[in-house]
Amino acid sequence: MLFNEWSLVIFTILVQTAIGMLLVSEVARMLSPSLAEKQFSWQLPAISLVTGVSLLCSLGHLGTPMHSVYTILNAGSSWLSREILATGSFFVSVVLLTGVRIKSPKTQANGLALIACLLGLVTVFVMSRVYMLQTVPVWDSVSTMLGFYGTTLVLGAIAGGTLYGFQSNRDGMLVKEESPRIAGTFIIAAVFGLGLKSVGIPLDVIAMDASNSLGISGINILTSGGTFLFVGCVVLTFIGTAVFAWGVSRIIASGGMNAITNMSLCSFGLVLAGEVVGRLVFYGTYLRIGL
Amino acid sequence: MIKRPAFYFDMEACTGCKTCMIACMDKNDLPDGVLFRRVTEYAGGEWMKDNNGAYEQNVFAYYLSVSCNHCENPICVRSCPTTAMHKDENGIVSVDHDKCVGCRYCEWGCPYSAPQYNAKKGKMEKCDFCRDYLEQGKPPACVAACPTRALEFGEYEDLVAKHGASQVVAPLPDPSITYPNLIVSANRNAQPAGSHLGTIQNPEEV
Repeated sequence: MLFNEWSLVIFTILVQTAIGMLLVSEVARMLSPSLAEKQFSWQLPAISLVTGVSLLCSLGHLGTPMHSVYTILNAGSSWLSREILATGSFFVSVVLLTGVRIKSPKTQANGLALIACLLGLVTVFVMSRVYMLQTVPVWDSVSTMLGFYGTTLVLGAIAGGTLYGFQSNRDGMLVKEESPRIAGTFIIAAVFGLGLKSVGIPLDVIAMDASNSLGISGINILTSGGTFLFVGCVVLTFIGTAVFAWGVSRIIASGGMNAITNMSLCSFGLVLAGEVVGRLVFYGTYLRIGL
Repeated sequence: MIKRPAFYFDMEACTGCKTCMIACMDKNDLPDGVLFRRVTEYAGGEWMKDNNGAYEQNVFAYYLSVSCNHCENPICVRSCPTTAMHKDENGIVSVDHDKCVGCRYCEWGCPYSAPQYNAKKGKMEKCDFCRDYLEQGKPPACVAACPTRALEFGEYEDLVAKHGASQVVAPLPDPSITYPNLIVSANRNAQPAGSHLGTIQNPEEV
């Protein structure tokens, strides 16, 4: 029951990761313009790639993918239609931004970057609303939105921070004055995202208490096989973020990027695993009122 | 054709024989697992201690035969991203297979389980009120097949005038979500909407 929606698990997590990477890396760029050209040049191509892959994965959920061109026809009332429009617009803006900065590396393209960031934030909002259905009380909670924004920041910050670490190490770019500021940005974003997710957990449990006409509630589902997964996703996300924060804090202490990239990669793996399990639990606890 | 088609269901008359369900499957040539009409068995109750210390029970059981209710504010139409799910000029909610992408979002939201996913076609399907039968002046297959005449169909206003306003019983959802064109006459065992005293007893079947 918890493993029915693989394509949506991958799609939502990848899009949210890409959006988080963009948000955090753009803030970090802004704080350290002197490093931006060389130490952030991998971020945008990676974000474009992750978003493109996520869109392809989303097709796996469709029974007739050839008709996907029609999915933007009902933006007036369908949140799913709006999600597709928003994600598509985000993808286009990120590809444009990538193209502009690859063509002219010294270009900041701040206006386009701001538009892409706003589209990213809107995409996460719309993505949350897709699931906040009146007839599905387990999902129709603000915890859905907190969870999605939390994932965006946690995974985006850790993915972006890990990529930044690898690029800095590869290029031997150790700038003592600015690295701590960038590292701090990644840590703050990840911890803030974790905070959002933490606030959502009790709200999630309250929402899961609602039962359907089979007498089943989200809590029933968890206790009959999902408890391990639910606890596991929380533990993995917390440990992963803690490892990331501790590892990156060493940059601030030492003023360099040495020896933390592998640790960042490990923390990214832990948090990604936690997010995948958490999203499986989210889809697995789908319960509708009525018949 | 009817302008606001509606179903009437008399709980007192229904024996739970499921002939309506089978007639619908037969008429629409439905594969296993795809049901446009479902007969739900809803039952519950408990033992209670009376003033003399003796135990008595309030066990109840009843049936609900429900298909698409061609709602006035259908959540499936609102949520469909492609506009494939639509309500036509005759008030019938149906799926345009030339547009349906098979995303199943209509299925997620509908509290009556009306839109059904046909995996072979990769598209959604649902009750279309036997539109072809109506055009020939015949009743829908489910109504025609019901041996106890627990099911009727007609103009919503006419059915309300004949049978009175619909009674909302468990496990039907709050009608204000979609404004279904379904009129139900409750029997003496019926539990009020929102009651959690009973549960659906035949989930594997419906």
